[in-house]
Formats: sequence, C-alpha cells, structure tokens
Amino acid sequence: MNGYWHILKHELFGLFISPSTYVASFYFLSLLGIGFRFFIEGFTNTAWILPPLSSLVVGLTFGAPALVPFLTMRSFAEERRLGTLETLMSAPVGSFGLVLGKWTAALFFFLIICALALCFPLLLWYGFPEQAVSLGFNVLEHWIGGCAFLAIFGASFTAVGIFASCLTKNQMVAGMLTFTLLTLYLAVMAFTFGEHQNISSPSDLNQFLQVGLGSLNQGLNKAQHFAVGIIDLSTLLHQAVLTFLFLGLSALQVERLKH
Amino acid sequence: MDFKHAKRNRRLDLWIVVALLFSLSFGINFLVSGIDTQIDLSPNKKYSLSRESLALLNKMDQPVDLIITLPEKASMPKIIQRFTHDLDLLLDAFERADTPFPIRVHRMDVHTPPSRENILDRYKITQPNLVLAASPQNGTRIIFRYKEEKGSNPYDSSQAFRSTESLARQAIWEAGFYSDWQEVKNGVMEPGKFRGEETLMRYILDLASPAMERRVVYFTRGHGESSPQDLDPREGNSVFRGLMEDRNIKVATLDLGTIERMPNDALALVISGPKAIFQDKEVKLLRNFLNQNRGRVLLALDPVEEMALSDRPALGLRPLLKEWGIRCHDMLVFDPKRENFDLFSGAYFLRTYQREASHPVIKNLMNEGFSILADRCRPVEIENSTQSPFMGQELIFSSRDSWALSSWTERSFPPEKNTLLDLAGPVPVLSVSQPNPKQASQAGLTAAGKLMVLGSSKILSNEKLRSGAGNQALARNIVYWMGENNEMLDVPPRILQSYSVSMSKNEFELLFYYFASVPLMVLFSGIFVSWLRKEL
Repeated sequence: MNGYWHILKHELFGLFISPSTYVASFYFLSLLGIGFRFFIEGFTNTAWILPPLSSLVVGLTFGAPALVPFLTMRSFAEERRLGTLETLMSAPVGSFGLVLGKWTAALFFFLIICALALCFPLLLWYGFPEQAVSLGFNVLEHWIGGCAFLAIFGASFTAVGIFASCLTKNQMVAGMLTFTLLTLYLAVMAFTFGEHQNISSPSDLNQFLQVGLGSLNQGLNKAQHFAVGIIDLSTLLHQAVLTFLFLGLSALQVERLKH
Repeated sequence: MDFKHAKRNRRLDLWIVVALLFSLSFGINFLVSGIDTQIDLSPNKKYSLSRESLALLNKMDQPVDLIITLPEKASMPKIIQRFTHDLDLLLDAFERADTPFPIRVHRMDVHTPPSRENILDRYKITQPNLVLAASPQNGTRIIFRYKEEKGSNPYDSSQAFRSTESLARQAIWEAGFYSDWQEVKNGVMEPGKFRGEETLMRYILDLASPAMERRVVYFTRGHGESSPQDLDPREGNSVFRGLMEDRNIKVATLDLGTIERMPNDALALVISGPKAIFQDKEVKLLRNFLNQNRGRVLLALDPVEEMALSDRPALGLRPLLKEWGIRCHDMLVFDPKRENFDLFSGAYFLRTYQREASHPVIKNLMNEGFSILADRCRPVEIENSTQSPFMGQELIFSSRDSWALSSWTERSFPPEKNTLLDLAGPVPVLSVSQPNPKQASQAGLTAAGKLMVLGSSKILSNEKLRSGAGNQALARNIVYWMGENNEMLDVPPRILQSYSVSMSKNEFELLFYYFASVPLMVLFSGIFVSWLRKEL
C-alpha cells in the first residue's frame, strides 16, 4: 500500500507539471463551455427532455475519448520508451499496485476536469440565479446523479486508457488506441440506446450475451435514470467490473513485461 | 525443461489467465444484471411507486404483462419522447415492485422477425406505437395508442393548421396520462403532472383480478335509442363503444321487449336517448337488473318535444327513477347567456360541478376545469330522504343564470321565468344513485347496483366525444364506473418539473465571458507551471 501511495503521488505530480494535460484541459473545457452556452441559448427549441444539467454530463461522457488519452497515454508507454519501467518495477510495489496507482492519478485528474466543467452551471447560477432555478440547477439529486455517472464511467474510461498505454512503447499509438476503444464503447452505447433487454429471463444466446455485456450496451439508457437522480446499482457494478477487467489486463501485461 | 518450453508455457498461462479474467467479468456482469436495486434520491421518492399503489398491487391474483410497441426514436415529437421517458421510469418501478405475481415489462418492435416464443404472437399484437396491458386469462387492454400523423399544410386555408407536435400532444392528452396542462413559452401547452401510475394501476388491477364473467355492456333498442354501431356524428355512439372495447368490454344491443330476463353476461345497460315509452315489462326487467343483479344502468334522456297527455312521464321510467331517488321532469334547461354556448357549433357548455362531495366520475374534470359539451338538456334532480335505501348525488349542473322551463313546448322564446313552475339554476344535468349500505340491507337490496342519469344523450354522441375534451374524460370515467372493478384509485400524481430559460442577447454574451473564465484559468495555471519548471 505504501508503494501505491508513492506511485499515486508521483503520477499526480507528473500530470500536474505536464503542459500537455493543461493544453488538453484548456481545449476540452473551451469546447464544452461554448457548446453548453449555445445549448442553454437554444434550450427552449430543442427536443431535450432531461434536466439541462444532464447535457453537460452527456457532453463530458461523449467528449471523454478526446480527453482521456492525454491523461493516460504517458503512464506506461513513456516509462517503457525512456526505459524507466524496469527501475520502477524494482521498487517494492506489485504490478497491480503500480497499475492502480497510475489509474487513480488519471481518474483523479479526469474528475478535476469534470468538476471544472460543472462550474459552468454554477457560474450561471452565480450570474443569473433565477434562470438557474428555472433550468433546474438547484435540484440536488440531479447533481448527485450526474456526478455519480461521471465518476463511474470516468473510472472505466481511464482503466481502458491505462490498458492501452501498457500495450505499446509509443505514446501516440497508446493515445490512438484509447481513442478508438472509447469511441467504439460509446458507439455501442449509442447504437443500442432505446433498446431494452429482458434481463430477467434471457431466452436465447444473443440475449444471454447482451446481458453479460451489462452496461456496455445499456449505459446510455441508464444515463436517463442518473440524470433525474435515480442511482442504478447494477450500472455502478457493471462499470466496476469493466474497470476491474481492464486494470487486471493491464496488471497482467505489466507482469509479462517483467520477464 | 528447455527455455523454448518454458516460454511457451508462460504464454499459455497468460492466455489462460486472460480467458479466466474475461469469463469472470462476464459471469459477474450476468449476476449483477439481476440486481434491480435503485436508489431514488428525489424528494418523497417520486420515481418509486407510491404506498397506495404497493398496497393495491398486493391484491393481484395473476401476473400481468405490460407491452410497449412504441419505439424510442429521436424523430418522434418531443411530447412523445417525454412520455416514453416518464413511462420508462415508471415501468422500471413497476418491474421492481414487490408483488405476489410479477409485472413483466416487454418493449417490443413489431417490425423485427419474432423469436421462438414471442409475446406479440401470444397476445396477437401487430400494431406499433401501442402501450398495452395483458394477462393470459383476461386478454389485452389498450392503454395508449399513438397514430403518427403529419401536421396539416399551413398554406391550406380550408383547414385549421395543426403541427405534428400539436397532434401528438392531443393524443397524449386524450390518453389521460398527464394533467394540469398549462401554457408555457410560445403558447405551447405543457403538462404539470404525470398520472401514469394511476392509469397503469387501473389496468393492472383490472387484469390481475379473477376473470370476469360479466363483460358485456348492452345498449337497449326498440325505443329510437342511439346505436353503438351508428357512425353518425350527431346520433351515433360508436366512439363511446370504442372506449369500452379498448378496455376489453364487449358491446351488444338488446331489445328489452323480446326477452324474459337479462343475459347473465350483462355488466351494464345503456339507454341512450330513447324516444318511445318503456312498457311495464321492460321497466320490471330494468328494476330486477338494478335491484337484484348488481347491474349498472346509464340512462341518457333528452327533453321530449312531442308528447301526448296520455304518455307517461320520463318515458315510463318515472316510477323506477323515483324509487332510486331521482326526479327527471320533462323540462328544458334554458340559458340566456350567449357565452355559455359554443360560438361555432352552438353546443351548450356544462361547467358547474358538485364541489362539496366530489364523485370519482367528475373528480378529474372538476380539478382540470373541463367543460362538457351538451345539446338540449333536461333536469335530473335528486330527492334524498333518510328512509330511502338509495342515496343520490347531483354531479354536473347548468350555469347559475340558467333555469329549467316547465311545459317548454308551449312557451314563447325568449321565455319569461315562471318562479312557481320553473326550476331555478344551476340545474342538475348529471346525477347518480347507489344503495345506502345500511338502509339497503334492511330493505333486502344487498345486491343492488348503480344508476346514472344524464339529462342529454348528445353528451356521449360521436360528434361531442370527438370534439369535447371534457366529454371524452367524462365518457372514460363512466366506463370505469360501469366496470366491475370500478374503485377509483387515489394514487398521487407525479409533479413534473419543466425547464425554461429567458435571457436577453446581452445576458447570453455576459454568460459567455463567465464560462470563458474556467478554461482561461486552466490556461494560466499551465503557463505558470511551465514558467515554474523553467525557473526551478
């Protein structure tokens, strides 16, 4: 555990002094802010039926493939390129501890950016309190549901990024791989949006496989629940399983690199 | 073992561990899918079923299937998307409810080829855009049907312009899933309350009860009554029949003069706008049905224009009505105020309700402030006496300015008020009578049913049901009232939150600068960190 904390501190320090993370965060938040501002302006004419705050949550989720690679691509690929991974592995920390430390740091930074993005509705509230109330920004459960959704999906997204970084020495390749995997993940969620499964009694192999995939193809349907303040336990657990899977695969890859 | 074998074994071990990791994740995912726990963070747990519903669901005697063939498409009108969203949240709550028999939700696409055991085949469902409730024993009930209609041409002056969104809003409104409609920005009507829980509960309870033997509503014939098969806008009752058939109630006609006893499957009897006298034998049949067979009778009587002195009052039904505490004089409701009439159709508005003792038949009409479109009306008064085994209630009245004219065929128009013979307004036009439990048991009327009398049969005509929102709601309530399991549910509606924004152009510009502060702060932090790295 001691090793885990050292890795975490080291990684966080690395992220906070890296100009690339600041540049990525700047562009990401700028685009999100502009998008949110125009969304609010045209809100009355849109077909958006969920609370307006959820648009920011959806924006952050679908924008994640552009952000997460910048946070995770360095973690193992850079170490391998510089040849410092061997030194790191000689430290008294296991492969899983190493992976966990780097993942926690990436997740922490992702959550900081989410928190900064959530400042947009807070700024609207500060400047125009009446409008914020009429847009439902004063409803606490919308905030809790949105934050829970971002936290759990952020965890699985960063785990995918860490796994991609383990596979190659090249940062760019790791970044592209993360982008591709996350885009694919979101595409599956978007294509299956609106299709509900009969999870109680899957009658054929196709349904059985779909149920086994969990929120990989039902996540966006459940986003509607989180948006109104309903925390769906099975979605949380599905994402936890997915995070565990990619962190486990990353640990296996790191273990393989030892030999 | 040489190095080649050791390397191969290590690789094999790795792939086995990877396969195990995948299968473990898949297995846990599968198990986790069965967890249907949700934490409802909203105040008063508004997305969970109410205590009233949970208590009522405990009465279920068999499982119920809720089938939705309405797709969730972004191309659907906004109100339909909102409806599917609200319905989804509600159906999840029903699925998770702890009930003696399961409530299974099936979201189906009628256009995809059916799998081996398909619920659509089992219940013979072929249409899209439906919300249905079904049970193997009691069949299906259509809860909501959405007809995808394109809006009319705005350049066509021959018809009023209706957008697709407006037509969809009307369909949703008619289904009764939402209430408290209010005009918001741009003159668009938005609902304030979602009554989905109450609506679904009604159907679930109806289906989950033991199969009913009495499921036929008979319309009488032989006295010039309106027919349930008649499509005529003014005279027909085919729309009213459709409302009953949607609830799986069969509709048939019956000539009381040719039968000796009421059919065993008779749930209710509708006498809609008779013009000829009922014979003693027919009245006796009616009396037996009402007093001894828990029968429900809906009697819709119009003012009679041509009547001989020898004719019996209220078409021979006066003695029966009197027994049930109802007085239905051959009078005509007259209203001098023009604003109480529809400018185009000339229909008379009934919008005064009995507020003191709200009855389930008018409760939602009263709360929503609906008007009922009527034609010529006659009064339907209640004569309550403490000794009577029946207790009546007057529900809907004409306006305060109106009065009922006696001997109206002989009066000149505009008539002068005869304070001695005329009946002062507001005049009751819809009344109900049902047994008073204590007195009825003493009188041996333990199996007595219910009687509803309408002072205008045109309220339920095709024309009025198509054009009058209040008439539709009233007709739907009357169908519930007729049903065997007719308890009116007291399930609280879910208050909807609507979101809007109203800001000027300058305010939006200011908001842009507010938002720009966040990424700029990140940028300056990055510049500062870069500078710090160089300096240190």
